[in-house]
Amino acid sequence: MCNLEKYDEIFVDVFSIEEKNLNENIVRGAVKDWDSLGHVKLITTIEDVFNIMFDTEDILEFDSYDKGKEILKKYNITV
Amino acid sequence: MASGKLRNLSIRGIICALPDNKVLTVSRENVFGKETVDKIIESTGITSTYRVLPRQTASDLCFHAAENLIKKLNWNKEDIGILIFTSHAPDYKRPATACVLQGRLGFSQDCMAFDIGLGCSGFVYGMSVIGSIMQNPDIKKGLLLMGDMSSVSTDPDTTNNLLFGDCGAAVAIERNEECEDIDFLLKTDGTRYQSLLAVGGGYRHQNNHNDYCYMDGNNVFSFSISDVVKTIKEFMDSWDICTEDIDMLALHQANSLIMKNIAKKCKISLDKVPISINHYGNTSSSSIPLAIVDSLLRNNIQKKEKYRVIASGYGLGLSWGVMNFVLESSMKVGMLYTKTYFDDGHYGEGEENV
Repeated sequence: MCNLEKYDEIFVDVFSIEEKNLNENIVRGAVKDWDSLGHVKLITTIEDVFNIMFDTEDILEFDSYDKGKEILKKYNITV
Repeated sequence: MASGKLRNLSIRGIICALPDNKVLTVSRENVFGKETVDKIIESTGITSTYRVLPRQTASDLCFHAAENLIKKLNWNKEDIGILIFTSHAPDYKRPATACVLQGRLGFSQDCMAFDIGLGCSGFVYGMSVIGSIMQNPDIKKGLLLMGDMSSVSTDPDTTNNLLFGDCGAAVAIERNEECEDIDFLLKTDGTRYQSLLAVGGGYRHQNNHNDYCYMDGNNVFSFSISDVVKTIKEFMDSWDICTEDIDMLALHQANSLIMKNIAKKCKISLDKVPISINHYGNTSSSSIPLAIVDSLLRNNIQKKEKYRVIASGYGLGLSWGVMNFVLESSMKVGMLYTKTYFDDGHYGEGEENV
């Protein structure tokens, strides 16, 4: 499974979003389950799957599907 | 650096007291709806909490725990030289609740008593403070009490209220020349104080009577899995502690996903992490002693003569810390349930009829 597939699968599982709907419109506030508890689940799952440890500011700035991809680059993960 | 080593101190016992009022999380469906409650249970694992009864306070729970612990240890109250109450839920604005508890417990006037106004870091801060003072060999026995009633201090109309339960804990500490050292590392970041804040009820905004605690979930979460992890690693490096040396990683019970995440990053096996949040919710300052007692009573941790524990509490302030200590299997542990409260003779509106 490539990084993009892994990344997409996390969003599908955590927020029950269909894969075909994953795009730039997936942002915090617009997704029903992306509240603080949803964010905990999203971030801890991404850390688990990609074996990384986010810095505090990255956890706070991770507010969209696209932004997440950008942040992951800092950890040498290209999605 | 706020770190140190405490010598010649043993933890003789830990007793936790819960209000005799178990509330199942599913029973809150009538307020929040089934979908929301199911989501909370699924994402936090919290299936029940214990909530204070009318007029019951955190200090009542601590009083009950303390009385029972002293009795179990067969301690003479005259020998207790220090009492600390760690809480963000004092009985009164003044005096310090520890003074009231000193009187209620019948301790001698030779016992110093004071409060520490912290939340979820209360156990590690409290232990560090009481242990530091007890480096004075004149004080042979001390009692650290931790209690909060966050079910009351969070807005009952918000889902945050589902996350919190109430508990009081008592830890008995005694001077002992033949025990291992306790090490601690404490930190604070007051620039993030607004992450967990009750604006009203103090003197800064005297006309604001809303003293419910507001929580910025994102800030608290990122703090927990980033700053706290770094501090645990810093602590283990500083004191040269290997993960194999640890029998128990006792974490503040804020959220099971957060605890699992911290344990994984610190490379500590999950079977060494007591998780009790599912039964009690987040009980703030008492959550670490409650998790330890719960795991020992349920035999969730591999039985040993001695448990080498690393504990980490983190929350309000922001304030956090890490410490290590040894628990002997012979120490007294217990869990109690109580309906009692202290009738101080003062009655607010409606209280006299309770």
